[in-house]
Amino acid sequence: MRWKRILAEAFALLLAATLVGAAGNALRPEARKLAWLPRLTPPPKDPSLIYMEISPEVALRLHRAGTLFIDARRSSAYEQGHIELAINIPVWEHDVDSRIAGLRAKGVKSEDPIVVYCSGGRCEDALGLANRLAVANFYNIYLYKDGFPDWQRGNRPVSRGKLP
Amino acid sequence: MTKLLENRTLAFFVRLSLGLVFLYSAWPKIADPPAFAEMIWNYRILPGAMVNPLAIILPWLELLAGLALVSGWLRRGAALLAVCMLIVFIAAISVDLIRGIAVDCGCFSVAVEAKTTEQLFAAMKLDLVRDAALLLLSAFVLFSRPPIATASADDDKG
Repeated sequence: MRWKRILAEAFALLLAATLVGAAGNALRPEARKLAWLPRLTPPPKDPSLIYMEISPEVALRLHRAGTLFIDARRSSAYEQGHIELAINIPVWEHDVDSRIAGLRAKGVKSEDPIVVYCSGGRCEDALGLANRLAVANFYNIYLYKDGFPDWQRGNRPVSRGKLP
Repeated sequence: MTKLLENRTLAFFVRLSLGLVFLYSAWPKIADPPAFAEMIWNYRILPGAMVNPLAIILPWLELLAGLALVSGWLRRGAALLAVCMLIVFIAAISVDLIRGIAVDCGCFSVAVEAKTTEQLFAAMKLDLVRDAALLLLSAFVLFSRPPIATASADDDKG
């Protein structure tokens, strides 16, 4: 009897959390919203098929050559500072797929070189973005694994705020 | 042991502190679900389709369980949930420790910090100890009972 009641209480709390969570998620701004069933692609068995890791020097050269840089970090981190001219596709935010689709509208072609970066370390955000870009048929992807902290240390051009 | 389980003052303070821990841990996750989803994804345990639903529901479950523990309303159900959640957390961290995958716990903060693999492994071991202690407290709340004389009155209050 007692356990039945405890189970019922736990179930009621679980149900309430699901309802409140769903409602809260629906009401959030885009940057804090989650898709219920996102398309998350696991890391590839052979990463070289999808992207090529580049050193900070190569990243700088590509940047000077006007290559498209994509920042995979959260939009809040991006607004606090990012590689100059980089656009932002936060891989964990709700609108990631529409932002990737938007690259086509901007005239980015499948073969165009794209440098993805995030906050260095294990760099899971940029890896995730590289996978998504590959799924969207971009195949000339470079991974700047040391990312923004390394770029800042090198005193390279940085800008702040949202894209105009 | 039975005496300890019947100590109302002790039960009250354990329940209160456990509830506060859950409230404290729920807050950053509720504030930023995408960051929490990333933490869950990094554990590399759940299939992709389950990551986001968990990131949407779990923080609120922690919050409601915390509120229930603090207020005393539905406290036994909340204690049961706390036990279940902590077992899951301990299992997740253990699995990744065994597999050699270094993850940010994502327990009390979802901010990405630049930590070395060694620092992460050390933190994971500490997290295990802390979760085990919390599990003990949750089990205490679940099994603690008021003295028989006041049992029915207490049950009425919920």
